[in-house]
Amino acid sequence: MSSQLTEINISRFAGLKIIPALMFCAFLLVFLWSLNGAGISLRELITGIPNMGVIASEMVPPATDRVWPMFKSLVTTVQMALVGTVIGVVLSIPFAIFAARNTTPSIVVYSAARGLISLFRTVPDIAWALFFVASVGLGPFAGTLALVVDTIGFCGRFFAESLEETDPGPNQALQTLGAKPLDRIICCQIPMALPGMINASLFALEKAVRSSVILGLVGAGGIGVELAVSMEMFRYDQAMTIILMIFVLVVSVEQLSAFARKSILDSGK
Amino acid sequence: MSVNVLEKELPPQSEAVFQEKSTVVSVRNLSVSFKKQPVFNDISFDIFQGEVVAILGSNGAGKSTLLKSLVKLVDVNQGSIECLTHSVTGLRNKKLRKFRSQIGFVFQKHQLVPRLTALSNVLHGSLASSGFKSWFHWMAPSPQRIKALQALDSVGLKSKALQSADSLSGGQSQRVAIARTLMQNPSIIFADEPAASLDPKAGNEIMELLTRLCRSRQTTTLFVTHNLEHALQYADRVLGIKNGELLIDESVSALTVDELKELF
Repeated sequence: MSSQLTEINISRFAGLKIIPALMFCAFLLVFLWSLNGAGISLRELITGIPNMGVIASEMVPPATDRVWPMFKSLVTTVQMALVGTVIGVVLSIPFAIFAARNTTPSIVVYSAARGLISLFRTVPDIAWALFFVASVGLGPFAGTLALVVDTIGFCGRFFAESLEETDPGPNQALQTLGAKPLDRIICCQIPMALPGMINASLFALEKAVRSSVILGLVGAGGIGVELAVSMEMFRYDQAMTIILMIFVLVVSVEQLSAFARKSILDSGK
Repeated sequence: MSVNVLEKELPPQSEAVFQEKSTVVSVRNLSVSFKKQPVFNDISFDIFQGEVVAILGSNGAGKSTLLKSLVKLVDVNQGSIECLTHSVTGLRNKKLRKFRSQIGFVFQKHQLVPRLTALSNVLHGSLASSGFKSWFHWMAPSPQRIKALQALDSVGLKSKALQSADSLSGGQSQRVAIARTLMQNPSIIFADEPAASLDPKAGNEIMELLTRLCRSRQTTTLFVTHNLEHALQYADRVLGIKNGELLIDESVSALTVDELKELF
């Protein structure tokens, strides 16, 4: 009986795969090591709770004394985001054409375009803002330039992927009737990739609105400058007004973007 | 069944007809293989001006590959293709585009650009000659738009001109694809199973329309099909392929249904 059981029994580790198990162990070790580096401290969290309460109480009621200058900064933020996104989206199109396998003229151009897009995307927008503030000075122009570069990094990649995902059939049909590569890209591949490109552009606009708030913290113009000044002056009531304004702006842009996305994509069906 | 058109004795009537007409496609000893697997081997035939020829065979026989090799959508391993005085296998870039602009190609799945209107898709037929003016219907000069509308009218779809291509039925889409081909003013039309993705009624209508338009314009036409009725009803001559070999090259009047069934 005992030998029969041994024969039909299966080891509990039989289905275990070594490489995934080792990867999971490595992840656990890295996470524990990161916990130490992240400075996680329950004691500091508990002692900080009264301070959070004080700041939160000072935020209410929100200040209304500087609403008009804050509103003007908010408008500047919207302008920066809009201009930065539009210029970025327009510049992303040639980048994407060069960076998509089915539209690029050569592997060298493809590699160069992919490399530049990766550089624009991987360097954080705040780093680009610091670079442009140092280059062209404080103000919204530096922020707009940072948003342009950030949008190219975001849209360039997604536009290229949209182009690569297009059905090759219609393109082959136009190739068979003697159309040049540029003609095929403009009147066949871009129209087919358009839903994905519109989607990416509207996400880029939402992203740019959120980014443009942060960029102000390093002097790149907009409502972020007002927020930084209020926090430095311990005017938490003014900071609260700005946070509420940012909240309304971001939610409005997201709603408008969702509406525009639905209207544009449905109208093409 | 005879294999090579050059070695074959043609029926007296066909011989008389072919002698008067010039050769527009001449294929000699053509072989194509994918990953060392031969698709077809050592195929030779001629197509004459104004003929409507069917390439008949079962699925996987190599019919579509043969048709695509004629416009260099598929690279050949061996042999030569002369088409409209061009040596097709040696064409590249600009010369290849110029050659292709003279050839109309109708695909099995119409291959229209979705989201664009039927009219814009028809205008694409003149992309090779007009470039950016044919990108979209709103950019095209009036004479060109009128020509595209006439092409749509000839396939019975003028009323659908501004309808998006992806909102058309399969049959309507194939009609628009035929109109796009007509817009090219092609010297030859190649059609790769133009009725295969359609129901029998729509398929018959498409074959009827395509061959009627080609005959009225005296455009040489080569169509691929696995439908015996279509081959016998709409073609002048049948090229029968089985297992990558050309088994039949005969005028329709000399063929019986039983002979064609041997291909399957």
